[in-house]
Amino acid sequence: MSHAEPELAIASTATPEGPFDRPGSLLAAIVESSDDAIVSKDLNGIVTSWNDAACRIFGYTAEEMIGQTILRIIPPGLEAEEAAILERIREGMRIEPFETRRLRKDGCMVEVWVTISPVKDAAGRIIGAAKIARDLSERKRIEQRLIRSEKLAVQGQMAANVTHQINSPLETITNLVYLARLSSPPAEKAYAYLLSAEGELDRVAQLIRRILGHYHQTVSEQQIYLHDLVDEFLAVYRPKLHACGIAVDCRYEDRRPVTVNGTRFAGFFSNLLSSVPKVMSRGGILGVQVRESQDAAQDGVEVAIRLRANGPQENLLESALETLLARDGGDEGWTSAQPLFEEYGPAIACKTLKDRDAAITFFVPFT
Amino acid sequence: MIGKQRTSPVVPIDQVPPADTSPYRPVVLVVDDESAIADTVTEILSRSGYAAMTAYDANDALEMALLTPPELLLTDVVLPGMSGIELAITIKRIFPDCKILLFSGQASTLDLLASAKNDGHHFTLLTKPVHPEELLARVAGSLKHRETHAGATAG
Repeated sequence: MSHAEPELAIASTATPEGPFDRPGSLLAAIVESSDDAIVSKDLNGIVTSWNDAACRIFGYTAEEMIGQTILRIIPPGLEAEEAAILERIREGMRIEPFETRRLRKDGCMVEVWVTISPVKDAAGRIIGAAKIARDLSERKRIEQRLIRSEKLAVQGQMAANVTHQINSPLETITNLVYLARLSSPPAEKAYAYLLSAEGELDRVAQLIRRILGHYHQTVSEQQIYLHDLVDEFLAVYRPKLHACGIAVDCRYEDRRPVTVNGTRFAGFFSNLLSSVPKVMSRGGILGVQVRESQDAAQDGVEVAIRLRANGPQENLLESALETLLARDGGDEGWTSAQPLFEEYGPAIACKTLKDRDAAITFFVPFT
Repeated sequence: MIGKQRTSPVVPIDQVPPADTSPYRPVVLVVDDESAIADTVTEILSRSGYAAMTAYDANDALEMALLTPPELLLTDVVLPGMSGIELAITIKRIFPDCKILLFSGQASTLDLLASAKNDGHHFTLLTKPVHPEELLARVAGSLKHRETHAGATAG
């Protein structure tokens, strides 16, 4: 079966003449240099042209697609969509641009914005359709990021409000417990109980201070020793980690401070340490190493976090990152490490060493 | 020596505590609209040897300060009517030697504080909840210069 060439001579290969010596080749050059996939097909859905952007977006070369059915890039379940499009094109009806999904050669889905126009021959008969598909993946990613940051901002605001409500009673309780302890003879059990209660209240107070600190992301950059931050958070979370059967192994070998936005790192550590018990539900070892970079090309501090779970743990690293990035909007989600990842993204390396062993490393330069 | 927790008004003569040989008790004015906080902080300061007074709003605090000039004002930032920062600025105008400690549990106070700083007023802010021992250390630290000065005068 031969396929009529569309009126718009969309070429997938360079013409033998000069690039722009006739209108058709100029048009072909425009099509080829477009960032949008521009393909044409006949009324049976057989591909008749396929530009470079189509190769990039869908993964198939022109040779692989021309003469083949367009159904190759239609995901299972959406075949009816293509049939309806062809039906409307045959009837000469207009098709409003729409958003849909297409299947790449590698099996991944790609979100696209599709515009379809009928192609007519010299006599005005409809002989096929030209389809322009714009890759929406990047836009979707930005949208997702925006939604996430807005969600985090709202959660942060809520957490800050709740914190304010908690502060006053917490201050009163702290004062009352202190006064009660001063009023108890030190030899009595009540004194020891009240002392423990003060310790626990102090933990709550530290968390509250952190939350208020996170809310105020505007805190300027400061010089800090990263191990001081780690230590501060371990003081708060260590009892919980121990209770969950997680041993903590810290090694601090950084001798110089770094200039960073402390609250961002505070958010990262707070999120990390609070998520470790969820990630390693059967217990394990949390290793935190803060050291000056071993790589001569990188002058800075390296923080290596190692999670070693007791017993096999599926997707350990994915769970850790998921919780760290708070994609699930968990209860500590608002203290997300997202701003940190955005700032230091390229310097963050994550790898799963074994099924029960994962490592997250990031690097902060001394500037 | 009689225990502090005993409240019996009848004290045997041999157990009457010796007269206070250190009459210098710095006057601290505590202001918080949360009466439970103001009262407990006052109690804690009193037990540590300060002459602590309590007010639940800025107007009461000003009246008290005029009657008994404080050496230190410890005030919550968010108060009904006049804020703790405005109160601190007013007290400072009347009693330039009075030390100021602000405490607050609201993040928004940082903005108020930044605006006061722009006007040339530098105050120390404690974030609630403040542990009593830290509070006592801060109060003692603020009054240190005064105490040294008073001690030198007394000596």
